[in-house]
Amino acid sequence: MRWETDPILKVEHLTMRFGGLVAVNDLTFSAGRGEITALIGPNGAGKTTVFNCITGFYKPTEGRMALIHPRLDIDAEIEAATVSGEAFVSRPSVFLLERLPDYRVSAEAKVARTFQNIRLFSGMTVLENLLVAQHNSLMHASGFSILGILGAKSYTDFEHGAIDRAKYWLEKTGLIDRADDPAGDLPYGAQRRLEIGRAMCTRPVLLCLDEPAAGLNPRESLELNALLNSIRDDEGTSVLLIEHDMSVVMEISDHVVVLDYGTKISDGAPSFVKSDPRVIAAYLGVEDEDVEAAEAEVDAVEAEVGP
Amino acid sequence: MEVFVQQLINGITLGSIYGLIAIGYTMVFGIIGMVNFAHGDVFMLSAFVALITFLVITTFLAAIGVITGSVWIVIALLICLIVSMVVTSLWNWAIERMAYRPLRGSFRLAPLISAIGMSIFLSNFVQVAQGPRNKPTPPMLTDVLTVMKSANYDVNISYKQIAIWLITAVLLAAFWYVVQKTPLGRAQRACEQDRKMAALLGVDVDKTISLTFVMGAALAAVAGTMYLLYYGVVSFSDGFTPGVKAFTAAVLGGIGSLPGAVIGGLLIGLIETFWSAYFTIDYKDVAAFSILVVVLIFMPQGILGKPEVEKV
Repeated sequence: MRWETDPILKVEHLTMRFGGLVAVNDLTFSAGRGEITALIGPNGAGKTTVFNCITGFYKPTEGRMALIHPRLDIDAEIEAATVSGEAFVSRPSVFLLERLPDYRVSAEAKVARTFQNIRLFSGMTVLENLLVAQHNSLMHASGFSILGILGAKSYTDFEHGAIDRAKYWLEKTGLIDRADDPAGDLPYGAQRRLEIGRAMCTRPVLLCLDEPAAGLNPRESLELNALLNSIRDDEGTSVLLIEHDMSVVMEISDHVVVLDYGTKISDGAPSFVKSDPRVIAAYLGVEDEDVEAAEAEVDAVEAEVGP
Repeated sequence: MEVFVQQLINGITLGSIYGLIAIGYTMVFGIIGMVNFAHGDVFMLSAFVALITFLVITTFLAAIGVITGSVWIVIALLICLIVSMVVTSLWNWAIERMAYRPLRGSFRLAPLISAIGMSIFLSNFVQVAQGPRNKPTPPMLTDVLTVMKSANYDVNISYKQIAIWLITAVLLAAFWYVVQKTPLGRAQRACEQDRKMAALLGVDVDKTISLTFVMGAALAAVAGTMYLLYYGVVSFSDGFTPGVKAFTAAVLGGIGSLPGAVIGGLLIGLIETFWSAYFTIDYKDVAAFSILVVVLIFMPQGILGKPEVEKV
């Protein structure tokens, strides 16, 4: 399994308590590199809390979340070392997310996210939203604004590059015609796509999407599937997503993790999860005896097949 | 007619100074939702920095035997302006770092109280360090241009006023460019709308807020230097009244809006000078604040402020 052999994110024993409420309880899972991992579960299962911990929104009560950066192109790295004049190049490859402040999770560990309730900068234009996402590299290139004010050529060239990248994502999300409109004026589905485009402009290695299909009509939902597949296949970005729409989940994800009451109840390929009696019980709701019966059955099956 | 034009010239000059201070209030309010009551005293401090720099330069020039002609005065003033901008920026950076940042995320009133404390600290510090008396500068750039002449009234623009207009216009343009076109300004506007989201896109919010304070202080320092040049005198208590008027200007223009701050500043300056010219000078502040009350009754969000929209 990819998520076991080559994970991009390893979450271990993650626990998040709010006072007496345990929102996430000893959760351990991995997300595979170059895969779409879906985090599903009934309402209140703690999915969004997991996202908030990963992206630095919350400091988890306990646990470790390691993000493992991909190996770069080896030849390019040898070349970079040669050019730098040093004997070696060092590049951090593992980030413990629980120790990073929120802006460094995005700037250095390269994790981007979107929200269930859209959080665009609605007063700024669509293009500006995408440029804010490239703030750090632009700020660096503008010599902390000094070269930018003087209009230095090195900076204007760099800015063109940033605008090109923004345009690339506008094309992909079908928003190129609306580039100069205020983001708040876009229709709902377009705002959702823009949020994904903006997250991708930060050049993430892991993209976390919180219910990207919520409120979309079936056609928009299909377009979203295509966009996510393209992000995985063409950009090589791994995706972690929370979704309620089972057609989206079963269609595009490579790996599904199921939460209920903050605890993981199932983890595996979509086909496996779909038929897991514990998942069915959690989703459809069954009498307590039935749960016990189902659990006994699962234990029996596990004893037979091996875990 | 002549009196009107003369008062217009005076009012715009005063209004530019208020506008420059008001930008500091409106930017800080926009980005962290806090009224920085110490801003008026930062303005006063900058006038003192400019004064001290001016005295050092003129003493130095006299010591090396340069006759202080008007060219030297202009150069000296420019140096004062730059030194004052740098030193005041450092002060405001330190104030934000020590008095406001530790309180961020605390309850809403905490930084406000801290700002009032900072304001008292600054005026008392200057009073102790510089003495409680008015500090004068020698009159500078006193020549005037006569633009209109009539039998009994000449309309004059002094070189001082021209210098104040020019410097204000140039700095406002540069400032507008930074806010609208550079990555820093974009990050500031993003933080204004949603600080948490900006952080999740990799924007260092604390640094952006620090830079906002630095920019606000730099503009206040321009206003402080202009104030010193215009009135030729400054005292430790001079931060309060211009500070309150500039805050009024920011509210009048619509707090959070940069053009609003400038328009508000100009309006307050004009109301004050016209009232002093045509009615009684004793009631000029009453007039300015009455207009504020009237505007806020009919346009609670100020002239250019955005109305509060209920989020869906």
